[in-house]
Amino acid sequence: MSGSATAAQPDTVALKEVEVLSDRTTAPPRVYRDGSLNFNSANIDMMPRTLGEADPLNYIKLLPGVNTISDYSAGVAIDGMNYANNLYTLTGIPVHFPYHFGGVFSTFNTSVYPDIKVLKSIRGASAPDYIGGIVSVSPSSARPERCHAKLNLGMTASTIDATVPIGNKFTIAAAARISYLNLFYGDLLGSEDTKIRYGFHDTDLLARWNIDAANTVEGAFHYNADRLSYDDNAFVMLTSMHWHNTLGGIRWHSRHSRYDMSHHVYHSAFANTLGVDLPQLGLSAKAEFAQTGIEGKFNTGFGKGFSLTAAYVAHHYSYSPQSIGSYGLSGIEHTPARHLHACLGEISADLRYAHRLFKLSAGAKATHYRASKDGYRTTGADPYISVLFDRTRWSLSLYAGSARQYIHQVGLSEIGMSSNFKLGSDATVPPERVWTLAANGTYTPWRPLNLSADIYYKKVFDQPEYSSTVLELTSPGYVAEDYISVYDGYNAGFNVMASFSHRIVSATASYSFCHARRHDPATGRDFTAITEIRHSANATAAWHINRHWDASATFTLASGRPYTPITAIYMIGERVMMEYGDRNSARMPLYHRLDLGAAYMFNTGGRFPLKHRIDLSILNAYNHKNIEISTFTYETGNQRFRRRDIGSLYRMLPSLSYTITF
Amino acid sequence: MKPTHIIAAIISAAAIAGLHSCDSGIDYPEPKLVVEGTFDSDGFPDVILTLSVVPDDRYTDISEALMRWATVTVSDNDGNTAILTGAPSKLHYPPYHYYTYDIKGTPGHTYTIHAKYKELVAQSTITMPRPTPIDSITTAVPADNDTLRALTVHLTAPDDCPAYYHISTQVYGHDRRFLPGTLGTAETHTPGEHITIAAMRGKTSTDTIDFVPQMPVGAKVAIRLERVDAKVYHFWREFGSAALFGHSQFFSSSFSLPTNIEGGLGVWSPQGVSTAIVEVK
Repeated sequence: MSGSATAAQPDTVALKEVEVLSDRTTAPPRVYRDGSLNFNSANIDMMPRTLGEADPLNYIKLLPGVNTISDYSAGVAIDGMNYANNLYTLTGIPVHFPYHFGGVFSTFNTSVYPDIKVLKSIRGASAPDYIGGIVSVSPSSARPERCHAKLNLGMTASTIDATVPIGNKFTIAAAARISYLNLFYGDLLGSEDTKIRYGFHDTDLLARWNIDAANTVEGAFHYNADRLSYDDNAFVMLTSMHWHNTLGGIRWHSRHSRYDMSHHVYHSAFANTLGVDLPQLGLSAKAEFAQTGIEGKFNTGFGKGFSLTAAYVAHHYSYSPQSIGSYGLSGIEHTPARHLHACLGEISADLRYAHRLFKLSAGAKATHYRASKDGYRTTGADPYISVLFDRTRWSLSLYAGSARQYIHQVGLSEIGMSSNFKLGSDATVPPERVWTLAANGTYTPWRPLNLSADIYYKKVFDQPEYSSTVLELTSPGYVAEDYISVYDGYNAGFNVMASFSHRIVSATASYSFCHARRHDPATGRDFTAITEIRHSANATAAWHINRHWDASATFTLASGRPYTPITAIYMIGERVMMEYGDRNSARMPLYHRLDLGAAYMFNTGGRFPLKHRIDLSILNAYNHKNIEISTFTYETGNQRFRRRDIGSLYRMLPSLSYTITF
Repeated sequence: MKPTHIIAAIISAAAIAGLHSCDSGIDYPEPKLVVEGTFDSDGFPDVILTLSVVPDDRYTDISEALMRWATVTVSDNDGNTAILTGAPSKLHYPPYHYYTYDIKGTPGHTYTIHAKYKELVAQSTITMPRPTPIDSITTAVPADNDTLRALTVHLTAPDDCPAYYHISTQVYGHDRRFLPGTLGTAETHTPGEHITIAAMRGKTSTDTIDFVPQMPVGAKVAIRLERVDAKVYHFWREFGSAALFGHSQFFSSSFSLPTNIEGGLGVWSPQGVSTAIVEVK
């Protein structure tokens, strides 16, 4: 079993296919019987690259039920849940903002962490406390027999990584990446009015010690830092964002004939700063969030078809939601930074019973949470039950359960930005909760063809939303929580996927339907959640032409995201103002995009045999302008209002990368 | 049940569940009268009256918003009513305004504006606060720029708090008239409190040169400290936010401005004003 499964082991049933996580074939991603999606770096390498990078979190947007609401945003909505409802883990350690620029690439390096699992609605009691998806990225469980290294030279970034076995028991893997996106793409990403400047670097270190046949200790470290600036000449405003993740942890995994267990200690910190600068004046908002955790899990079987998983969790959170600074603004006194703390303790148990005709799982999690703010404390219990009917060609899983989330993420942007900040639950912002009913079916009519479908209904409670404006940050006595309201609602939808795998061709086609509504207690009205991408379809194809050439294509077609329409424009103080209609009552135009890729591979021999690979990718091959936002400006010369559409980041963007492996 | 039937049943059930949730088109409201009306203490009413327009796919001419044939009146709580005259004006934008010299602003009096055009009616009633004198205006040199100056208005909170303020500025030779200043709002609830407010140029949609909020050295600048009603204050505060950040995809800004106009949009502001003119050095 992959290492990541320890922290995020959500399976409600024993899954035969779990070993597939380490299978490095080019078979398309698979939907397991619990509805989770599984793939590895080989799947990603088969697809067109984004600006020269093969990235797992970009790839998951092609999977059913996983959508993004904007190409500028960092995050995905899984089964219609908010971006902030997803947990991302790197070998079990939470990564609080796993994205580089605009979600184009993630902080995850697939050379060190090749196996990816996306858990959706169906989960066990020991799954982490997040109510959306859980994306686990983990190293391969296979131990390398020899040293290998890889250098990837791209037009936006270059990566070097190496894996070195030391003796029979140690393995060390390290990777580093640095970007120079401005060099080739600075002008392409900007426009007549805008200029984008961006840079990042990230590093990974992974060490594994196989103490003996039963015991393994694994240590991981990751750091990334990003700097983005967006200069809008039309409005003489520079928006900047800086962010970084620092995380590390050690896990002990012990397997025995009658039981296995793992224990994990880690620390993960995220900090970001948002800056808004006008000529000679500006303000900044800095946020910090750090989590220290100890987690463990114990699995055993009783015979007669019974098995048990018991788990414990202890977390400590320290956070500073927003501290505000400014210059060039007289008469504004800022609220000092607040340093808050919270802790969470939980125990859970999953009991499984395997009958000849079905497999039954049931369990519950008990949690206790305390926050320093106002002495807030709360206790919760989340039960679930699931049953799996598993046959040779088909399976059907039925699930009912609840989950809650104590850590929230909100911000000035509703499309997910690094500037959004995290905070713990308190009396103002209680834990988010979800009740889920879900079913997942798989069917294999013919060995190369797999069909799957899932359906879900989620009743969500207390989802927070932040309604402050940038200007409110300058208010005396500003406290972020004063601007947070919580909403209830529901998500309903279904996903279908077909995947075909042949020796030289693999392909997937998927379709998702999502309906997500929220209730505004202030107005008493329901509105469409911004995460509702009503219809979305993806198709991928990879063709292994011969030993030198691969070709690939992906096509995305999706309903436009919901937005609040401008229903009237007018002028006050010689400034164009807009009147807005009902919240999220309109949709952006249809989104569609075709990406193409080709790879040429060859080997060179001699004393140092090397594998070479050259990737050419074209993003948005037919240069369709997908609209991200519409607003209005005024043309003084022509004395008219002009609609201003801001397009996606992804205009037609070619990229070339060269990878050398030895 | 065959497995294909199971999958088909799942899909069908979900499709039926989703049928009721069809998209609706954008519901455009009828155009409304837009009032930008000021009435200074010891001054006279001055109103720009326009019509909101339904956004078109590409361009919408400003002429669609001009209101040349409306009837605009201002009345006070003593029963006096003045009919405003409409006239083209190079000092206003859009270049048409309504004015009268038949009624003069007196702090403490309540003034009602009533505007009518065909079936459209907009009105608002606001009491004019007493003005607060400007104590001083100070100048600071912005970082690394010797050609600009940051001006700050200093005042002392009056005894009849709460008090709400808005700053308008006019750079002679550049601005046609007083325009709402950037980040130029403040409120106080404490009599005697020392208040400072930045006096920065407003960011307009009609500027033909790059926006710079500080004042250029050598310019002659008029600064108007307006003590306003709470509703007017909230209008200008939200206006300032929308003017600065309403265009950015990085910040959610899909909020309509508040208004104190019944049946319309905009703001009616009888205000107690103190004006200072400074030469920026």
